[in-house]
Amino acid sequence: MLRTATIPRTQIRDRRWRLLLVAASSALFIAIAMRILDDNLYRSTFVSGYVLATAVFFLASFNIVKRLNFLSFLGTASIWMQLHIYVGLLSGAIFGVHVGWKFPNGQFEGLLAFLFVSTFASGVYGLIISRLLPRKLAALRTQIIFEQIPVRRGSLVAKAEAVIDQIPNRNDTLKRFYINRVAAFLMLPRSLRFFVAPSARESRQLIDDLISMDRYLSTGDRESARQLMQIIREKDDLDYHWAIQSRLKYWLFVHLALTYSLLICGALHGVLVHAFGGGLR
Amino acid sequence: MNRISRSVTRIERWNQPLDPGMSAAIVEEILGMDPFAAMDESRFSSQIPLLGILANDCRIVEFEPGDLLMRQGDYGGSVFLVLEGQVNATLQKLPAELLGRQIPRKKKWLEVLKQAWNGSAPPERRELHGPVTTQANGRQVGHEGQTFVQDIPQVFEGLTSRAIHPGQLFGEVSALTRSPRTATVLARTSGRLLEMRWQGFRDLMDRAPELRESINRAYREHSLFSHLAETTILQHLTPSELQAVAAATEFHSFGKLQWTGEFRSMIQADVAERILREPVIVQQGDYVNGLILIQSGFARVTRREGVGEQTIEYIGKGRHFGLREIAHNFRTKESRPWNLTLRATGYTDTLMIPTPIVEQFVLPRLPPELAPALFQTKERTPIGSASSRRAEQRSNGLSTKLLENLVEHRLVNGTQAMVIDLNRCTRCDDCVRACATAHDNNPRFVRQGIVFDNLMFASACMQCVDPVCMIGCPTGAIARDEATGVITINEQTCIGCKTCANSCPYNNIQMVAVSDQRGVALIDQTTQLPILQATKCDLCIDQRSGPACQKACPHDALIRIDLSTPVELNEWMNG
Repeated sequence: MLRTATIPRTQIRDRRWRLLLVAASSALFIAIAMRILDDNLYRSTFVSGYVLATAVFFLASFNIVKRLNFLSFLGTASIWMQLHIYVGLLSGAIFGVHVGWKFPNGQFEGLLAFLFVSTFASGVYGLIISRLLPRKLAALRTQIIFEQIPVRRGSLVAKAEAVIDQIPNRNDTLKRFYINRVAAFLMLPRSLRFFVAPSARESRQLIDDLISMDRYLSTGDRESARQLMQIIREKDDLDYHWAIQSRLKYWLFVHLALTYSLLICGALHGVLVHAFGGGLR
Repeated sequence: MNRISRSVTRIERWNQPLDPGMSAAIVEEILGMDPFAAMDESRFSSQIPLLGILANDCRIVEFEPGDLLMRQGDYGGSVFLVLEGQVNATLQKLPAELLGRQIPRKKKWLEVLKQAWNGSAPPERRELHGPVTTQANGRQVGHEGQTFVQDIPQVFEGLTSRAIHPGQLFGEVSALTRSPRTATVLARTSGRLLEMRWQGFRDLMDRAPELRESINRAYREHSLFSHLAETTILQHLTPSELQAVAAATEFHSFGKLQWTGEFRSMIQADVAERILREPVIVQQGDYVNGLILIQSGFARVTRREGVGEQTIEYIGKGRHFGLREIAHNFRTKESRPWNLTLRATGYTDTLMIPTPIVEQFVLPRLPPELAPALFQTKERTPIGSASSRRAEQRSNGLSTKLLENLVEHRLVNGTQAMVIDLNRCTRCDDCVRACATAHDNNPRFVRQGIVFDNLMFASACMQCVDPVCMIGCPTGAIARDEATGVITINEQTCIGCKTCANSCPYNNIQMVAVSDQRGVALIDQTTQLPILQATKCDLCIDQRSGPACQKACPHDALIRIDLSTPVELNEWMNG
């Protein structure tokens, strides 16, 4: 039988420490090398600039490598991801050395530095959310593919309307509550605030109100109210999925857009430096 | 004008005969031979007549001395009948270089690179009615017959082998049980074989009770000895002792061979009820009457807990149950009953070696490396004690809840299950995209499935130990690849009957409407309905890089893993 390699969790942890050590050692080595170059009256920014450009091109190549996954000699995406993280962290240190740990005052250099810092920051943000948010999603009752969320939302609305349609016309307490409060919650998109900091406050409020309404309801209506509560919980889970999965997906677009801008501006910076910079010495 | 559909002839069962060269004269000749001469043609239906089976599901294979006819460890879908000459079967392991194993065809570098540009390719393109590849059908002799073993007398000199003469069958056990070949068969003289697709052979068995009877008898005789000889705790016995053990061994089968329907109804039931509905092999508290060996399928080990049953472990083919209890009673002269209950999940074949036979032949000769663990564990932790329970729990490392779910959802059947750690998965879908790239822009799995705690068992073909999907396939389009054991679907012989998709207990086979190379939908000339074909994960068998999904996961969240024992999953989670 064809075998696939399994990497135990402990080995992944070991690999992380090894790579961190390599990245830290490399940063130290580059800092010392820069110092030696400066002491010997070389312009170390040329060297650090080339090292930084190499690091940035390597980091940007990750997106291409992911698409060439079928080329066996390229290794696994997980190894590339680890390299991307640690070379990314290392590039932050090289950038600091390159700009002398202060923000450049020229307009173009300022824009370039802003693009690098933004790309770096978006990368760190992506790293943090890719480690924290999956756990939040895993803790939910349902698991759903992002593209299926609108369809599931629609089916929840249909389910809720079927529950309301079953209620006899003479008891309109629950119907009115549905029309005034629940329908909007089920049908309308959630606010930007929910996207930024999703919370169950709104759904909990609706459920609390449904519970407090219990004394006005008949036995049959209470069962309908219970079903509505379940639908509200499911909708809340879906919205939570939407908010968190959107964040996990869309940060990458921002990171990529910044990366490509950085590559273009970086290339231009290289041309300008070579045209007017005066050379290594 | 662009066409949106094109009428074609639907593929049917015998569109692609095993050998287009099977003439009426050859069929007549075979019909006059045993066991076909004794068969009553009126028992066969008009759709699948005896002559039809012989003409379409059979072929003649000529062999010369030294030809390799069947290779131990391969998966095969054919049964062989010796017509002329002599062949020899051996259970001994022969060197791989002598057997000349074939490696499945991988894509060439240019083909691999082309994959990067197929992002806009129309879905499910097919070149139907193209050339048939016997490799994908899992047939044995077509190419294996070309493997020639030199100096055949010398090879046979050192081997314990059994001669198979004209009129005798071989290969039926693995073909019918969907398990690897247990023997290697080499030609001793020149002669002729009749190769039969297992689908055709199954139809013959259904319609000819005398054939069925003799197959069952041969199955018991031949597979028993080899199974016992392969069992670790019996490997130290002499052939005569093994014969004595074999003579006393009892066969028992539990559950249904085609267990999908029962599984689907059972999975709806309450957890406690599900366990209780599984057939009991041995019951906790009963007299220890023998050592149980699992011959095929899986069994769940449970312990009574309150009014319910708690899953302790699951065991599969080659594992044994009850040696601890028998050894304890043998040593202490006590007569403790079964400490645990053993239940069949799905279809389970067991062998039972009676306790007196185990005490007489097995225990006195048990090698020290197997024996001390049994006895020492007993002395330190009495059976059923709290410390013994904790030790059992530690031994497999998985929680009871996870173990129970693996057994109840029959995930233990998977040798390459796709498991996703949801605590690490960022839902980036890189795995799905990689799968699509590797399969001409058609993903072969869905990133959804059964979830327990933080683990998702995604809807991807698990390459099952017991692939029930293969049972009903009328053309043999779905078959195990001989070299890798991966179950593949042959586009040239899949007639779109949905039998495999309906049989798969995990809904991991999808039926798709196919189109031609330009994306024009193919429809049946007669019914004007779309042509459907079955699709599933093939573990990227033609890729140079292995399963694309696992390779593409940047977060080490996705893994293809063998669940037939809890070892790999435990190592991955806790390793």
